[in-house]
Amino acid sequence: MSYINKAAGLLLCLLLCVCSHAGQLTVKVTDASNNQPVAGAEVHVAGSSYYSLTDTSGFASIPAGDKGGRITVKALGYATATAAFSQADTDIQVRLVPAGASLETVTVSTGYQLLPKERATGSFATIDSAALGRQVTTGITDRLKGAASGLLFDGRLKSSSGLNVRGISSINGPSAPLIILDNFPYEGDINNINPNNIESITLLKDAAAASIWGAKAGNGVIVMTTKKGAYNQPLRLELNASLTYTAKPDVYKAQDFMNSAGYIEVEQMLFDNDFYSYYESSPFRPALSPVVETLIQQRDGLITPAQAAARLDTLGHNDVRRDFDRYIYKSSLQQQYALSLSGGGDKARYLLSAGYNANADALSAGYNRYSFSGQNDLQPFKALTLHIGFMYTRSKATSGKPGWDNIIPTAGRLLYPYTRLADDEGRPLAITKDYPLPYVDTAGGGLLKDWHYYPLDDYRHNTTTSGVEDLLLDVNTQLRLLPWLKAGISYRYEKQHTTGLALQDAESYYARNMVNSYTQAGSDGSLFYAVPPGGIAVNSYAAVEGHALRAQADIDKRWNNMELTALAGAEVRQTASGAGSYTLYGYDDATLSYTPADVVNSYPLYVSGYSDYINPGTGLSSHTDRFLSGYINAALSYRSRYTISASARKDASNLFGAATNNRGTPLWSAGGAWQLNREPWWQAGWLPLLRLRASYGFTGDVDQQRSAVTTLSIVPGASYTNYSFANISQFANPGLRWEKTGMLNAGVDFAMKDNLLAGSIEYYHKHGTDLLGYAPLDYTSGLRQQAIIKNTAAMKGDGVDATLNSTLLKAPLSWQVTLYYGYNLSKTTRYYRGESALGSDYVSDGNIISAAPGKPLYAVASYKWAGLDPQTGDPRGWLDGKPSTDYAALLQQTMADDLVYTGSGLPVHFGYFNNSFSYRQWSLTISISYKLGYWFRKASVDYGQLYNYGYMNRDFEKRWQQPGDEKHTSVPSLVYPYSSFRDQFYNNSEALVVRGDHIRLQYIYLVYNMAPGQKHRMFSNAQLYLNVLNAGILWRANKEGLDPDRYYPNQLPVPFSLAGGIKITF
Amino acid sequence: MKNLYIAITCLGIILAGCNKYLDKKPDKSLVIPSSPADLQALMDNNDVMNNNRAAVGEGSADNYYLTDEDYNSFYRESSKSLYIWDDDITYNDFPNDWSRSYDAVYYANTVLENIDKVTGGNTGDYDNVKGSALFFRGCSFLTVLWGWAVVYNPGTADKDLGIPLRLSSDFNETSVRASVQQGYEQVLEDLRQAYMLLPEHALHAMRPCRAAAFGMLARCFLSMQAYDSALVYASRALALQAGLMDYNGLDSLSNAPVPLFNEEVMTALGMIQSSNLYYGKIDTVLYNSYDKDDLRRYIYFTSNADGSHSFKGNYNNSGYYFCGPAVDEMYLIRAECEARAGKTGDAMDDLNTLMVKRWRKGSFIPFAAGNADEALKIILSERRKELLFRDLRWADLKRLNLSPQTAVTIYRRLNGTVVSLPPGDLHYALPIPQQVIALSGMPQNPR
Repeated sequence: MSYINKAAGLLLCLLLCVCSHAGQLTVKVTDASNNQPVAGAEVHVAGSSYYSLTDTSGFASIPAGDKGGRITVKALGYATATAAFSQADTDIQVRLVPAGASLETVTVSTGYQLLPKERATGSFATIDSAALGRQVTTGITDRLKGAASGLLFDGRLKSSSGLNVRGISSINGPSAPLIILDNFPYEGDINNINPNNIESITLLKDAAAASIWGAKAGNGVIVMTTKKGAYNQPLRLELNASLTYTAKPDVYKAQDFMNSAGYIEVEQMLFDNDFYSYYESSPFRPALSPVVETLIQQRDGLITPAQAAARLDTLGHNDVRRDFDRYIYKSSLQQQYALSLSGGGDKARYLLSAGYNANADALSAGYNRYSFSGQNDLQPFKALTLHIGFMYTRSKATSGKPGWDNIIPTAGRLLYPYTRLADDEGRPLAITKDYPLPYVDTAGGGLLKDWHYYPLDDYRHNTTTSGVEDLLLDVNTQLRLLPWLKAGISYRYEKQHTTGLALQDAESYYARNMVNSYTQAGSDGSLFYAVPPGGIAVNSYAAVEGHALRAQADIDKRWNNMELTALAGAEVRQTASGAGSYTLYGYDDATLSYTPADVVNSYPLYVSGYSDYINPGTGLSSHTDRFLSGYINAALSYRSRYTISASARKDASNLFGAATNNRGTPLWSAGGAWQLNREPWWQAGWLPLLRLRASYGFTGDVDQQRSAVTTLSIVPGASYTNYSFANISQFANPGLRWEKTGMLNAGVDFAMKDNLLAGSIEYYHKHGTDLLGYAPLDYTSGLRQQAIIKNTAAMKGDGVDATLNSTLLKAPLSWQVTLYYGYNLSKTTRYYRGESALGSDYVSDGNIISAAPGKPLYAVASYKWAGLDPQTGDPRGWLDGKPSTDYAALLQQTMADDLVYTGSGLPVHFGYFNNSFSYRQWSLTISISYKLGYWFRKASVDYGQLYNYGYMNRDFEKRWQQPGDEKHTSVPSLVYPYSSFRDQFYNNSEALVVRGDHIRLQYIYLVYNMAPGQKHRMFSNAQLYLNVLNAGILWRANKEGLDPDRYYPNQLPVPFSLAGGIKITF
Repeated sequence: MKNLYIAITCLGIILAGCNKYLDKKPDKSLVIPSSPADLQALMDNNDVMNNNRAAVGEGSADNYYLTDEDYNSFYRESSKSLYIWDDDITYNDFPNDWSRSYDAVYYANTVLENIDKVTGGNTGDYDNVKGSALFFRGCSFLTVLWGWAVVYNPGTADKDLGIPLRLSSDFNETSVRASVQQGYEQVLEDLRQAYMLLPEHALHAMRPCRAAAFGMLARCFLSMQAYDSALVYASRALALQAGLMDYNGLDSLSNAPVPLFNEEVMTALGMIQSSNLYYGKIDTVLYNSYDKDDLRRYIYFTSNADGSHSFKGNYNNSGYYFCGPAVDEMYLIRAECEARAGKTGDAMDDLNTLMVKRWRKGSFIPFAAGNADEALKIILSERRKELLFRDLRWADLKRLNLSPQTAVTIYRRLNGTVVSLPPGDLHYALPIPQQVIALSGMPQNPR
């Protein structure tokens, strides 16, 4: 019995033990700076799928295992913390360090190493996946907005993202920052990268950070690190799905517009001046607008003046924007899905992910992208790690409708504002195209193909599809040879393959026009087609294949109070690209049949009778870039207080024709850091973190396009002869050197007690030498250019990057403020311009590098403005101290010193102001961006362009019309005869320079964290989120309502978009 | 430590292979000229070499006029300036006639500098490409001399401001103006060397041939008023190529009646497209000087709705007006030189050989002249009527203005005003682009 009792007692005891330990562990989460509870913190038990959130008193309870473990605690505004608990623990306390103060615990990735930020002497900024998740966009680069300082999006560049880190240092070389994906530069299209796969992004801003990348790092480096699985973690499934609605673009906001009545008045005036007489008599039969056709018919007595007036009146009431709004533009939807599976055991971890994006844009153009990736790490034994990763993307883009400014009546001419695209029933109407409508109505007497152009129908027959496939393979292995020495080899293979098909089917205007243009009609009515009837297909492909191999040794040695971290390695990279295209005539997509066209002989053109050749439409290219690099990098710390670092790198490339000793360029950096708060004498309790650091070093840039010897580019098929012919593509320039940028960086990292204010402030000074710049050229040298790119310029720039965090309120309602501030003012210090001091060589809208020493790198330089002539409304400049309208003299005699330099065309002060609030399960982030201290030149009326090419501008309505108008307008009067010098002067004058300063609501991000825990066993965590993008401009300095980031007259404002989504973790 | 040695050894091996690895050329279609074929490809770039000839001479000449309306509608101020011999042309668009004239010079110089360095091919390849380069360079210098320098005047040519003679491809070399004498000597030198190298028959009309080099020499001597030499070279050209089209076989209703690369073309050169020439209407007096039975009246011109006439007799059958040497021009040069030498009969024979192919079948009455002066007058008149829009008139005006018998003042009537250009006016040497003057420090043509 006693045994039984004893046994029962023991069993009970055991059971109790087990129960209590298998039961609940209470976690209390507090703010380390003030011991206040933190509500809404996410508590996750490592190795389980269990998540919990803390309540308002900072408590959360979690099921504890029977052998202890680790928990991870995350909360908005705090650094992620981990804590271990043992079998015996029933409650533990976790102190969260406010995010601002956590700078010292962050690890940064340079692509070569992971570096604890406390030992970094260089300038790094890290953006984590949470920050990247706050903007729901298809591409990754857009998500960097509002997430770091020193990063500027230059909205003036239409084609590229305009992204630059700490200003641009290359004057004419490649100016985009270097993008690193994990260990190697990413050679494919940045849009291939699924943002959901990115764990964090590190910006390498100064020389100490970036010089490890050597050449190409001159414009900053952006390192993207992909998500990985975790060791000892059971299977975890994450799903993220979102839907974005984008409003219809507002075509009524177009700047390049004139009302129809005004436009007709101009045409009438030109007609009265016989402006169109040449067009009427030209053998090429250029198209004339419906208004001019009407006026001609009236003049020739074909219609009565009353009929003509009625027709013009009808046209005058049309508004082509109405048709664009009704038939072309639409609101659009974008869908995004991402799924990932991750987990790991002792010896392996894995992550597999899949993503799908399906977008349609305002013009019904489609884009979809599938992406798959896998990241596997193996650690068969302690000393060896092996990583195998892949990323595969497949995307397809299909063309949509023609947008504003894409419906072109005739080459080089813009659409008439009174054009109607559809009739009252919405049926597509023909518009004036290459030849006059009366001509195409009757040309060929019915024998030719229909020669009309129906824009609302044509896009169905004129389609472009392009597909991109990108595969990335990574293999790395690292072996610990000694406790302090590791050696590793990394290899990356990348292949991107792009295929395109531009199909103009038999019904398309392009194909019909080509066939008709080359048709010869015999006198007996027989027809000969030089261009085979049918469609025209242009097939193209482009492939990029890259290999990169790196061998590297890492040292991490501690002794006494010293710690040495060092790495040395060598790298070889090759990127080979090839592209080609060919054209098929008489193409039928249904049967893939085609008819070869004779591209060797010339044929008479139907309209003019001149002989011409059919474009063979073939092209081939092949390009190979090779780099060899060796690098070394070391940091030595003493008592974790003092750190010094140094790095050196040499790159060599196959820069064509460069002398071997110029192929390579050595680049180096050195830096130091001092952690004051770790000094024994540090008494300032109010300032628990204070760290000073400085670095100096060089980065370089190389443009593979330049060459030191005369090189020819061979092109097949010269016109007339069909022989291969050559262009001189590079003019021998034996003095060619690499661009070099030196940068000094000095910074302070600090955190005040209670996280009242924390962050970092950095000052940097940049100076570039041997920059590739345009040097003006006496074109008698015959280089077919007015300027030649050579190492010609030097620049220097000063800047400040600051990141300030402050926690203003704590739980239950927490409010955290982050300010990113960037200041950058770069100036040209030297620029070779020869003897010329002609002002016309220096006039600039601020979008190209200014050649004026001492002026901002992107200076806006203009002719001085003397107002409109009160009698005539002519624009006036200054000549010999007096107002003048002698435009030829103003353009030719104004010297560089007489110009007005308004200031920088790039924002001098810029950044973001983010506010994050959280209350219980809700959190809200509002990001506001600002760009200040810069100017741009707005587009205005150009009468020569209006008369000849139909370029319109809203300013037309504000033009000077009668004496007195000059008091409130600077838009010149309408004149004829005209002088393009007059337009040129006005459009490059001070009168059109406008302040670019503006403040924009960048995004709003609202999340609801669904209460996790027992109640929702189905999943461990779920978030619902809403995201507003492009919400609009809050304030702008210009009075015209122009968006300085999109001031090109033919750009419509970006419509706002709203995204909603859900993120679930199972 | 052992590992470190291995690493160092590996690195050594890698570095040794570096230079070879880096010798890979980045762009496959890029070549450093290494064979005569590479250089020939440069000469076959007909956009640069052939159809890139300055049109400012024809634009300044009196074969055409612009209506006020057309003039006022012009967008390019340089086109307007050119028409009225105004110096604002110096504020120029780029590329412009000056720059484009020198593009061909650069290509030619590249060939001439590399021809002795390249390998492969056979002698004929070398001769052809070198001859072509010299031919094109000579042609370019001659066009520039005609446009931007004063007329060749044997008495003052060694002092008159000529043109920059760029003979090397080094773009850092500063441009200096050689004398007019040096300029013409360079042209003659280039063309003489060219004819010795060029084949009698080129593979294509776009490639220079020996007859064309003789033709250009004849042209050059004619503009130097060296009529004996011009006669010699015109004859040598005609000895190689003398075929004439019969205009009775052309379709006068066509918009482009003259066939491309026809038998009269020695080498096809074309002028830069020019709105002055496109918009230009044929001088009324000139048009009316064509007889009703002169087929050129129908082949060369088209009637406009307003009763004016436009030119369509382009031997290039495209937008580039033909300005290369041709058989008809050689007959006219020889006829003129014969007349000037007093050989009236020979002169009229040459003229009539040409003219019989230009008149309506059966209606042609051979031209007759009682003496050499009469013959010269007829020949000069027919020269103008045959060779308009071929970039010859401006140079003809310059040289003919030297003699009071043939001097003329030309006029532009525009918006109610008249601008005149008397013989010997300084504006016969066009202003050099201001940017070039600013960068090189060369003296501008005096005004």
